[in-house]
Amino acid sequence: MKYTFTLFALVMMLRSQAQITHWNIHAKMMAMYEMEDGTMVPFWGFGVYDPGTSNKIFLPGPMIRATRGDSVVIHFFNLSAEDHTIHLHGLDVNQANDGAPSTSYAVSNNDSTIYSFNATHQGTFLYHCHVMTVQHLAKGMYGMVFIDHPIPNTLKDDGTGFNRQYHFLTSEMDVSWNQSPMDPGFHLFDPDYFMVNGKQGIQLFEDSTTKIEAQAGDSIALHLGHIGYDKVRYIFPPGSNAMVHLSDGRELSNPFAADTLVLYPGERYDVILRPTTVLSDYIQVTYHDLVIDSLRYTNYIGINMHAHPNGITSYSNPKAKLFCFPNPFDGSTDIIVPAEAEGNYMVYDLFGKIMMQTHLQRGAQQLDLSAFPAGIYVISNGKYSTRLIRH
Amino acid sequence: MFRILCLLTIFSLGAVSASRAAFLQDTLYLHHDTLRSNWHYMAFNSSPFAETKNAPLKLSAGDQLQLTIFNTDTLMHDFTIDGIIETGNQIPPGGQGVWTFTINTPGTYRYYSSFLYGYGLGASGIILVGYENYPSFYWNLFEQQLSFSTGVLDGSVSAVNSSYKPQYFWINGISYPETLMEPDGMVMGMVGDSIIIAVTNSGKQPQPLHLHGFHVHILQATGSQHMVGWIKDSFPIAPGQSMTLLLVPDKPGMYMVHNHNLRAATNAGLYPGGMMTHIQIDP
Repeated sequence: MKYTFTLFALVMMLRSQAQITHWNIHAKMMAMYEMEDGTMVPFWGFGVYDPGTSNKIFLPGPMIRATRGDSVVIHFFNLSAEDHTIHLHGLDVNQANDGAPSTSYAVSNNDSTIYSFNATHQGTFLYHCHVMTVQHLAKGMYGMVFIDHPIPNTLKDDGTGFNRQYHFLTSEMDVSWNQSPMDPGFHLFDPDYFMVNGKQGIQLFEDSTTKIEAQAGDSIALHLGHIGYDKVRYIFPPGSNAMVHLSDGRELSNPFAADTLVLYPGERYDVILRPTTVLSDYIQVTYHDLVIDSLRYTNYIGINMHAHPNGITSYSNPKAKLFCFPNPFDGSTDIIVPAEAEGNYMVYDLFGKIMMQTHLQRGAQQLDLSAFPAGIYVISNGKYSTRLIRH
Repeated sequence: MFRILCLLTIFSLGAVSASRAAFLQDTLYLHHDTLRSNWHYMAFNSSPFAETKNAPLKLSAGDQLQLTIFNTDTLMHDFTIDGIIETGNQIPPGGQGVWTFTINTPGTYRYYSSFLYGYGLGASGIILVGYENYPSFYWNLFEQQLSFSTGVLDGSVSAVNSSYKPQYFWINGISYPETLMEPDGMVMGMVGDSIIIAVTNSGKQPQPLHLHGFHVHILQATGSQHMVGWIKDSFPIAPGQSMTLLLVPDKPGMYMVHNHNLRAATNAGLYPGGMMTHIQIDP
């Protein structure tokens, strides 16, 4: 404890020259986004402004990142035809920098402004446009703000730390709102896409930000934020030993162990997983109707851990592992295949005997091993593989 | 250690009240009325005149309150406080009832008519117990759908289901921007004040609130107990549940508070509106 504080004081001294972190962010209202099923959807959003480029926008917007103690200066350029702002959700900025047009001001087309604030707390925060918020946010004008602890790989002042971290921003999209310029009745948002970092379903397995790759013994920090209008629930796999440490950028008085964690609109949590076993599993992210709690969609975030290099097993190419669930299973299991892993596969038993040949397509599909006796099998195409445990 | 001391201070804010226990009397009128001719609502009012705002009750811990309720509706109602008054509490149509009760633990509680045609139409208010040395405000949250209210009254709707898509969202019986003229809900204070905000969700869906400008300490909760002691800027309040918040503003200015289910920041589908108000802090 004492050591941590000394270290903390030292780091603060080294950083005592007030750091100013600059971000250049722009807003635009013309871009297309490809959904999981190939549907092209128009969206509005934010990007990193660079005068020499075409200034793309992204869904979600770029993560705005700084370190606790920094002064953060955001140069905001509105490259679109309508008014926009950046509201810094949870950062407790003053009225002038708040980004709500009714209490501060909006930035009109081809105008720019500067938002500034002091990053006083580490943790997960959000930003979004606060002009016609119910519509502009739904169309994609949002992103995450993450404030790092001054000591690298640290979450709390008591030294609680991690050696890997992932940022997951959940959101929803009602495609009809994105496709129509008309006022749909803003109380009737009814999402049909459910996303983590702008990705849904199989897209999560094709994006390195939404696939957890770790080694035995790792502490994995998850920085979770929810900007949608309904409710999400994270379900951590058995053995992941999830501890919830921060919420809304404040250390919790009672950090707690959690098998599941619910996020309501605007909430953030910082969680550390310390798996005691080598996990090859997934985190479920379930999306629920806010009113009646019915399940609308489930996303899967794979956790693929590798035994320590000194251990007995290791994978030569950790990226080439397929996810399947449940595993172990009775009869059949669902296997998830990213686009680059599509192709013909063999199922082998432990003696290397070919039991089955099959073609796997991009997406989630059922693999039926009910004809085989209980035991351990391997499915492989030479490059991608996974172990199957049939009960 | 400093933080522990701070927390102790915060949790003892409400405790000073015990020595002031008194015998109090009050009267509430349960009204059924309509807005815009066909929007039925119900409310417990402090006068014989119907209004959408339920009267907030303020007590010290240990006070004995003798409460007389006049049921001016044509249907049977009751007067319920979870854990305090739950049985023998019915009031026949046109009748009255008298209850004497004490709440010993500081915090925010809800009183309501437990019939769907009662609380479901808005007959649900806030009781704040303790914290009498601090400026206090009330956010009684409620949402309303025309077809739900009429359906409950004609018997065709018996529960909230997937067709529940409310059009109006209230704080203390009123929507933004009128909330800015409602003195119990619009928070006004000064930098460094300790401001108590009593929140009750009288509605039928969770209300995820978000404060601009400030985090609040969650001092007490009848629902999400695990959040007591947390410092948050965004937090849900489940239907029927209450929370007591402490706001200590560190800067002046005017800041929004609103439901971050942004459907609820609208009036009949138009933005801005609904469950939104301001916090105004003077230097």
